[in-house]
Amino acid sequence: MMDFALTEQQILIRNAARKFAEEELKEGAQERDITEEFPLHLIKRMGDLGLIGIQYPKEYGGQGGDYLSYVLAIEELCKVDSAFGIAYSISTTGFAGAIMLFANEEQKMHCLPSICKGDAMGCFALTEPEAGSDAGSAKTTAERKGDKFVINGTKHFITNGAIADYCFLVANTDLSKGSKGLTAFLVDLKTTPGVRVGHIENKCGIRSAKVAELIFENCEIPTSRMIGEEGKGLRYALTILNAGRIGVAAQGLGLAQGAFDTAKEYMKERKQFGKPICQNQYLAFRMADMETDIDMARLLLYKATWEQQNDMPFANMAAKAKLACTNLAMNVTTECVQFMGGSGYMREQNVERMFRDAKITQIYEGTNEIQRLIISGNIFK
Amino acid sequence: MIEDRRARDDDQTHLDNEKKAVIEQAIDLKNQENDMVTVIAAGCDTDRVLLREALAMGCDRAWLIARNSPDVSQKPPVSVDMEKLIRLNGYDVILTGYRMKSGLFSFLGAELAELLSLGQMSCASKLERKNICSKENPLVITDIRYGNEFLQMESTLPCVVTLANYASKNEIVSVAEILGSLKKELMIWKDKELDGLKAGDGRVQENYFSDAITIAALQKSEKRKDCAFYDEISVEEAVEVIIENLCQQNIIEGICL
Repeated sequence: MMDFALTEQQILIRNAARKFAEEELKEGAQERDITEEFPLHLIKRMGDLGLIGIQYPKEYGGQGGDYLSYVLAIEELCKVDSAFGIAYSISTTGFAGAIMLFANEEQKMHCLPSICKGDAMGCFALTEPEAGSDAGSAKTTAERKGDKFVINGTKHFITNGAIADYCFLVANTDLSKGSKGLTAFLVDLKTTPGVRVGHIENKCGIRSAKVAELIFENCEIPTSRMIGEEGKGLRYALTILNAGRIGVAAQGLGLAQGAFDTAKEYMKERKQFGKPICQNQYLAFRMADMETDIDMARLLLYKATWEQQNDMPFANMAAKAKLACTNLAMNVTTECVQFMGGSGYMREQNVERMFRDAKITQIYEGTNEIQRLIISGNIFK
Repeated sequence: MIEDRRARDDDQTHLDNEKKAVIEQAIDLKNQENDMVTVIAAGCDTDRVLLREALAMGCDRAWLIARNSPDVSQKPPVSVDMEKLIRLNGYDVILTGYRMKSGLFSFLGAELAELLSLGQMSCASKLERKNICSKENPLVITDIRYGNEFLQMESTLPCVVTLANYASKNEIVSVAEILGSLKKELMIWKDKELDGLKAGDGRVQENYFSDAITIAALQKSEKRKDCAFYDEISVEEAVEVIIENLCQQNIIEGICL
């Protein structure tokens, strides 16, 4: 018998994240979208509540909980501020997840406890100006010189790049091997000479998330900071992107649910032609369709999370969840702006911010075209 | 901490402010003397998540009364079940909230005090344990709101205290507290287990009048969800419903007016 119910633990963690989002994160979300300031103090607050590293073992500063509880937390955050939500997700999965899976004990103990406490943030540096979807063609180099690696190159569009303390970097130790020369490294961004933050992106949406260029100029790191085996960096990165996709799917779901909830309340209050607009059958039917789509996407996301939690191959399901939830986010936020009319277009209602935030979810962590490649590849293998 | 959720029809998965305030006061009292807090509630199986939250807030043990009878009128009053569990558990101070009910209108605190033959302090707003070192004369002291003033009242233990303070600190439980609560006892008491427990000698005087007004009000208008429209029910209507209830319960055969 399948059990679709959340456990008590999952409900309570979801409620804790929801309460934090409603009472502490929501206030200021609109302003942060304008000022592009990232609230690091709220990351610390989440660390105090144990909401960072829910799924990681206690010896590394985590809580020893399950992965679905973490996904539920992302959704709750993204209902009110998806820029904050994605920053949290990248630090917790993109960076910390990579360290958990592939780093050695010394590397884990170096950064995970402070990440889980909310005292530090991480980022995942793979993308380059000439290497987006084609991540294997990354050209940043890491040349071995004695007991050090010297890194040169530029990474761009790095979420958290401007504020992160640590970086999971993918660089090439042997360009002649192409993608098979890519190797992963742990870099302390704030204390290592030779690395600096370059251009900070001015974006359409998720404006308070600090997406930046990272420039490496003769940046020296000890060889002990190589993660795992030389030449396996791309494989590690693609593995982490599978998990990251679940985080982005949760972001999309949160955006869709947040916009839907906002529009629903507006439609009950707004009266035209003598009645609330929710009593217009076309609008009510469209909301019924959207709620059905939201629930379908949610089930897909939870299924992908369940597969990951149970150490099953989950890449295909994660791709489907990412595709479904991010397309859902774009569709629902667009409709909700429309249903709210002129008010929906104004900043005060927040739904226009969700509409702008939704677009990037169809692009990053593997574009939706890449997701379709994965899914269709699985169908016709 | 005692409360009855069977009369409610909301499906929230989190404790409301009143319940949180009572739990917080219980934990505060516990911390004064390194004691233990058991939370007892009545509801259905899904309400266990609320008790889990109470455990995460710091309660030590949680018991849920979840009778399966589909007809609410066939169940004994909640206070009767709770009295059995309280006797089983042992107690010093029984805390409940001012608005916590047994059934639709009866006040839990008052009924429990009656069943357990204990004194009750109601409308209390803060509690303090004193003289616990003196086992012969342990006391609990509370501030009772009286109009715009506060009086200080003390009682020997055991006693029932009904709190009127709804100002919960409203803190967010941490993930560590939530996961820690999984190690604490959460028991569900079903019909068979409850019927097997021994009750005390006390008897609750059921409040037919209040229930009659409720039923009459509901019968008058389907839209009424709460039952506070006393002014719209005539005395004759209320008496009629009371007589009908008494006849249905075979307490009387009828009345000639």
